Amino acid sequence: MRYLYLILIFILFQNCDPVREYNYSGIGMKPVYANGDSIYDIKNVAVQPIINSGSIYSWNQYLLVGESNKGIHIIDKSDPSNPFKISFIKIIGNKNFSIADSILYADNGKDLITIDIRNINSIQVLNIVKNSLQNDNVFPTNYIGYFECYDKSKGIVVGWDSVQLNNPKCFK
Amino acid sequence: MKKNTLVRIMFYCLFTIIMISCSKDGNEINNEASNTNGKSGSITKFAVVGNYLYALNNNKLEVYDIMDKSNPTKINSIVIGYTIETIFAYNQKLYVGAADGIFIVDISNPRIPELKGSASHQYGCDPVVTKGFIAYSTVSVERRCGSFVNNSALNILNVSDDSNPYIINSINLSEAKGLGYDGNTLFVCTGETGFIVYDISSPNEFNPVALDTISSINATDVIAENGILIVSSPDKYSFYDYTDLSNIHLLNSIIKN
Repeated sequence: MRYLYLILIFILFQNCDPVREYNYSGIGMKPVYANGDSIYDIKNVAVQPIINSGSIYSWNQYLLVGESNKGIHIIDKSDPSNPFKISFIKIIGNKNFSIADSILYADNGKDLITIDIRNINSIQVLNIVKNSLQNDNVFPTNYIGYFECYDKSKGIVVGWDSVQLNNPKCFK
Repeated sequence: MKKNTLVRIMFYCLFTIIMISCSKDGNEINNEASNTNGKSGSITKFAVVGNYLYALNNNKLEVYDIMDKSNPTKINSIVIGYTIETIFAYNQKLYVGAADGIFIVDISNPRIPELKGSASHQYGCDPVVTKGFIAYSTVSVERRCGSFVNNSALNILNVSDDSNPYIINSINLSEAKGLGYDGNTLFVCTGETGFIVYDISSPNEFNPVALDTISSINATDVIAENGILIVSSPDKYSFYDYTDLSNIHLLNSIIKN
């Protein structure tokens, strides 16, 4: 029985410690980073395929649909029997947003970005509150296994690749 | 003693694992307040109330003063809990859905939110919406939420006392996802089995009456507004007309591609 406990403790601590030496080598997840000025290239672009969509928001005649880490689809729903995409707001790293008084408040994984959307086909960035949403606890979602730890000095995480890892320090 | 410690360690570890796997990167967002600011689905981490933006960030609630739209400033940050996932603003309160329950945050002083109370439930993903003194919260048993239980449910909570919300009824569902209401009609997504339409008018508010089930869709979140229901699915966005509750019908869909 005592050995069983020891084994149990061993197994549990394997899982518990988020950063440690696992001596693991094999397939795992690795962050895909974006950084520099490119992450502030926030603008209207042509309609995009809806792939990994997230939250939904109804605003006036529009339905806004989050495309995880890429931006926001704009759908015209003035005739709900005939909805169609009209534009895409490119915001690299975006996951969350809300709207008040024709201002779109959106994140990019670390900053709060304020965008004037009175003309939704020609949006204007008003302000960026830099690093106000920085979060050190970034990990792949819907995944259990080894991953390369997030390093905020490398930028914002815009995705995860499944790759060969040698001695990853993170597990979830 | 030894056994006790071990059990504690096991529990702690399991909790940690669940916590980590349950927090989502935030593929999801929402809010119910239907006005010129629009209306969100139930799955959201941002909410605007008056001149303030409230944002869930990891385990914290961040507060921004947005009075000056060209120069918002972060003015506060309070710790709520590690598994917080969704936020719903209603009547000077924020209802925060977490993997292990809901939290009620008083924002009558909008610059200094105050955590008032919480209600725990079985572990699972759970958006929440509130109407009057009743909160409706779904609990999903998706594995990614670290759930131990094997039934999804719609929980109905009495939130009349912010400091002491409690579950007063629970309706088992095949699956439970996003939810939303318009007036006295509550729409609850049940994933692959579609969505259920409930009457939550008095005196049915604690024991919602199912009016209809639309099963020909995989429903994950909804926005109900002015007779048009927007339903989010893994493969499309659909628009339903619910002006006549006895004849809820599909108008059209935008297929993902």
